[in-house]
Amino acid sequence: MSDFGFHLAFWSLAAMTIGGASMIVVSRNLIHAVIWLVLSMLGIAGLYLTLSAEFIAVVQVLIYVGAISVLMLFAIMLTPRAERDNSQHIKTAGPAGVVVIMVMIATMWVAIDTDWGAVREAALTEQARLIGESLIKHYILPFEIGAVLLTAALVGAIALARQDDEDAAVHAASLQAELDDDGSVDPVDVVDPPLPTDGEAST
Amino acid sequence: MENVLEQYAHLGILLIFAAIFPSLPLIASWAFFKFGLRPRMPNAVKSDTYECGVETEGPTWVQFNFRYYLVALIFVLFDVEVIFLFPLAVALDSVVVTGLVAALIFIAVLFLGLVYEWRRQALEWR
Repeated sequence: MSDFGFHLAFWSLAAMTIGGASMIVVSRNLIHAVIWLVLSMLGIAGLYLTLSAEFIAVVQVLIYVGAISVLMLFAIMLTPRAERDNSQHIKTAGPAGVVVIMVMIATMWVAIDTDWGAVREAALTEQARLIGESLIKHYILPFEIGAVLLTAALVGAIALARQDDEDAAVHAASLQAELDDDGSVDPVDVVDPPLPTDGEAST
Repeated sequence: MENVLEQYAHLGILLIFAAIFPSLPLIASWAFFKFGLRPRMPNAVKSDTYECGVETEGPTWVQFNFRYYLVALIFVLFDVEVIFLFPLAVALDSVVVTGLVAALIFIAVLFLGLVYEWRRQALEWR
C-alpha cells in the first residue's frame, strides 16, 4: 500500500475515534453515548491495525466493542431513570475535568517519552504466539493472578446481584400470585415487574 | 508492514461502502425534500416506530431486568478468559509443560468461580 493509503487510513481512523469520543460528551442520551463509544473503540481497533498489532485489534473488538459496551448498555438500561438524560449539572465537573486533563497529559508524556522499540511485522498467529510465550516465560505469575482477579470479579458480581435478586424473587412470586388470580398472562421478562420500593433496582 | 495493512485496506473499503449504503437513501430523501420533489405528509401511523410490523407497546426506554446485566458480566469474564488462553494455545508447542500447567491452573481457578456461580444458581433464569 502506498504511503498515501496509510495516511488516509490513519487520519480517517483518528477522526472516527476523536469524533466518536466528542459525541459521547455532547450526546444527551446515555444510550446514544454508548453507541458513540462503540464507534470510538472501533476507531481505536483500526488504529491498532495501522500499528500492525492485529492481535490487540481483534481483542479490542471482541472485549471492548463486543462485551464491555453491552455491559454498559445493560448497566444504563437497568437504572430506573427512564429518560437516560445526562444533562444533569454536576458540581464536581470542573475539578474532575482538571484531573482528567492532568492524567491525559501525564499519559501522553509517558507515551512520547518511552522508547517503544522498532515495530516488526507479524501475522496474527505469530503475534499471539509471541504473547503466549512471554506470558509463560516472563509473566506467569501475573497471568495466574489474572485468573484470580477474574474469579474475584465473578464472585463479587454474583454476591451483589443475587442479594438483590432474593428480595426481588419474593416480590415477583407475590406478583405472580396476583396475576394468576386475575387469570392474566405471565409478566414479560424484558419489562421488569414494577418494583416495590424506590432505589431497589439501582445498580 | 505494508502487506498486512494492504489486506485490511480491503476491509476499510468495505466499511466505507457499508456506511455509504444506508446513508445514501437518507441523504437522497432529504435532498429531494429540499428541492421540493418529495411531499412531506406525516401522520401518526407513518411516524410510528417500526417493530417488525407489530404495534409498539409501552415506552421505548423501559427499565431492563438486572439479570441481563449479570449474564453480560459473566460473559465478559469468560470472554477475557478465552482471550488469555488463546495466545497460550498458539504458543503451546514451544512451552509444552509449563504452558500446560499454567493453563490448567488458570482454568482451575476460573472453574472454582464457575462452581460458585452454579451453586448460587446465578445461571438460572429466575
